[in-house]
Amino acid sequence: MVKYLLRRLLLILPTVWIAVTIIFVIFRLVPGDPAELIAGEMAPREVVQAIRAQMGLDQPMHIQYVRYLGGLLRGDLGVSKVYGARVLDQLLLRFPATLELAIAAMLIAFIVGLTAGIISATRYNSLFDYLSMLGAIAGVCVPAFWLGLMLILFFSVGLGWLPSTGRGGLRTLVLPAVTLSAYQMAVIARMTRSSMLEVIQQDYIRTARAKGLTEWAVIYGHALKNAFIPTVTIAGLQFGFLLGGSIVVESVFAWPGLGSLMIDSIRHRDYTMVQGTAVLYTTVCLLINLLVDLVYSALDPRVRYG
Amino acid sequence: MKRSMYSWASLLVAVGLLSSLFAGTTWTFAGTPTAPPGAKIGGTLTYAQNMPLKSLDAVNPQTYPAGYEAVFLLYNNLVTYDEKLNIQPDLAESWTVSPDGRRWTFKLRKGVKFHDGTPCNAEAVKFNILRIQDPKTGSPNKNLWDHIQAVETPDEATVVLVTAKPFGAMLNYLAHGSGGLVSPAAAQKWGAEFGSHPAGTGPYKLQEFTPGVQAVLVRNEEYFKGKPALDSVVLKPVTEAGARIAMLETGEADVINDVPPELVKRLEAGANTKMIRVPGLRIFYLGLNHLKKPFDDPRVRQALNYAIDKEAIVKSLFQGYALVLDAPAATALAGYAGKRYPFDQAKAKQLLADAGFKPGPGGMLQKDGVPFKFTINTAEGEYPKDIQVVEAIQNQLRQIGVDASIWKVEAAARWSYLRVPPADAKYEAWLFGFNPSNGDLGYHLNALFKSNPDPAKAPYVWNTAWYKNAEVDKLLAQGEESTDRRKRVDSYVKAQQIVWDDAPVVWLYAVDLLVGARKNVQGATVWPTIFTILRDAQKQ
Repeated sequence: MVKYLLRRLLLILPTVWIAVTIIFVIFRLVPGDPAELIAGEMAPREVVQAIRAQMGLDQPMHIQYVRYLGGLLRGDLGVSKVYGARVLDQLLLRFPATLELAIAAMLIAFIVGLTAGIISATRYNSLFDYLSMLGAIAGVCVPAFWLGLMLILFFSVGLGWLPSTGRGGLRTLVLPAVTLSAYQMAVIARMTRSSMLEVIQQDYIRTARAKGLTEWAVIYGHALKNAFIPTVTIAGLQFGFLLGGSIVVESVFAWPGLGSLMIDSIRHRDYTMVQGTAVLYTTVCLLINLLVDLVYSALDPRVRYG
Repeated sequence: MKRSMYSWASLLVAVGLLSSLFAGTTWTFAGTPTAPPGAKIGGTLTYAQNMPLKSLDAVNPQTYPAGYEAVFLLYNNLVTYDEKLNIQPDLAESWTVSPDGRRWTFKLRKGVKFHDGTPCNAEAVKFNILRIQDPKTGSPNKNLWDHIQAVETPDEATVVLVTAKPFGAMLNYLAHGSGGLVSPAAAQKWGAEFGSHPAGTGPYKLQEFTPGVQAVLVRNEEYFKGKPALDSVVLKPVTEAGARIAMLETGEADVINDVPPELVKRLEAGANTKMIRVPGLRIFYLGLNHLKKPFDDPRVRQALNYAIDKEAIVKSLFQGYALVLDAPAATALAGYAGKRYPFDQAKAKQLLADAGFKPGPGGMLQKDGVPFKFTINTAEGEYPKDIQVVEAIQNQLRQIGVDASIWKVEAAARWSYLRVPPADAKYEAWLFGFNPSNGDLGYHLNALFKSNPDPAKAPYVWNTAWYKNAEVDKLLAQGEESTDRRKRVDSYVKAQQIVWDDAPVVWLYAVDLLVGARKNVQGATVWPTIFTILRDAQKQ
């Protein structure tokens, strides 16, 4: 197990290296000159040249690449010329906000989605089943920015219960987290319902019922554990998506997370910042995948790593 | 009270301008303004901006207009504007210009200190000018300062700026945001990180700054113009327009910028909200590349001007909150009122027929068997309603038999397509917006319509149309070198009339600046140069 863990953790390094290399090359191939964008539309040539030299962009690409990797190995993600600040500092400043939002959204999605999925499966074809699945379809279809604005309109502007934007405590977290969770909630609800429906047809469930267990014990003690595996897989994948996909929600709620930083950096061709976010996102996604794999073995004794 | 102060100030400016007709005259503005009597002291004002703040260095605040809006709270210039863009004294109390128009002498206010305690004296002014002129500083506005050849500091409170040639627009250039004077000690101490540790002389000083997230500015108790009204000003980026509106309506924000035209009525009707609406100087046009046929033919360019229904675009896309252009600069800047190109499809067709175009298959025009086809380069979200405007233009051109297609590129990459040497230029037409951020007509006309000096290199500034007219160049040079305001305006009006008739581009509109505020906010102003100015703002 320990060996397995070590191997998986070590594998993160080459994966991050590949991701960074791809970003490094592609970003330099797309049109748009960072020095020109920093210098602004009126800047004379010599200013653009000076900025290019300060950013090391006057060097050939392979030299820039070796320098960047060298810095990376020493844990130095470089300096963003746009922000006039160290990339690592900016990432550490923004990442907690994104993580907080993603965890809150995942929790809401899990609690609501799982509950709705289980009830729908146990009361198959009931009114509740129809309504919750209708809700799930809506959750998948409704664009996040629309839902976000509607929630703001209703709960902030209309009722005045919650602040519309910004980050600071639980009250500001509610609306963005609910908006972000809508899609995941729907996916988890549908996933749980269908895997649950499949599991409760199985022989061992019939056996459990036959030996006189209560319905509660059958569902939670026997069925759910097995129905849980596909849901956990999806949730793990979705968590990575939540970290990267919160951009729209961050912009609607002016949430100071990584998503807005990343989009803005792409717009300004802030090479070092985009590379830095790529390193962070890749590492976090790989760690989450590892975590999901570990949860499998906890849920299903048949899954063993060694 | 406010109004009477402004009229008093404008009277002084008018006197100043009149006296400037005689070179060598002194402008003097007596008295030290203080916070207006009856001003309510206290409170926090939150301003939701449409862009994130990244750097607070006056010479390069990165985001536009957000950066300069913070700069105007943190710093002062030698001279500044009022909301009508008249020049007002700021750190300079008075100034004179020598008879040859090359030496500008400024008398500084005494006893002013930067936020870090450094004295703001003649040496500090010199430091600032040399700093922005140094290419290593990386200021996008270095070219606004290159006219200054030498800075002399005869004494602590006197600065003499010497230019190579007479330079009539000096005061406008000094009032530009990049002319905010920074503390030399702080700039040397922080170097490249000065943008996060600004120190100016302005009414508010920095308390806390997280780039891209929030800046908290607090009152500068020592402010030389008197105690500022607010305890603090919070600047927050809220990029989503709907969210800005919601914040204003709930009171989470006191001022917001960039209100979408379709939501203006809602804020005007709101119980607690109001609109500040100012015609902006930023003009929009459809550029035409004169190096590509048939745009070298003025008849073709004029025809396209007649073929576009600008009034309809302004009415339907901007709900009327824009002005159709009647001069190469916005009405507030142009100094004269010209004649619009009316929407006249028959005339457009006639001009194109004169230029040799005949209807071909499907009624689409062609000349010598070559169809009249071109692409319009545009980004989405770079300018207000950009894609919709280009689509409207595309449809209207189709009606007269011209086949325009849209070439959509990412905003960040646009300059790489447009600002290239002619040999690499693939663009034919493009949507473009230009804002003269120092409110100077000469700057505007030079940037867009002065011939490019080197036909083998990228355009000097933004004359990406490669428009060339020797007479216009001569008039622009005359205007620039004249320190006599009347003569300057004369030269520029003549130049504009020629440019207008040459139709180097398809003239479109200038959009209004739409800023929303809570009803209890007083003293927030919007300069036609796009900036929301909160220096004198207060909450009742």
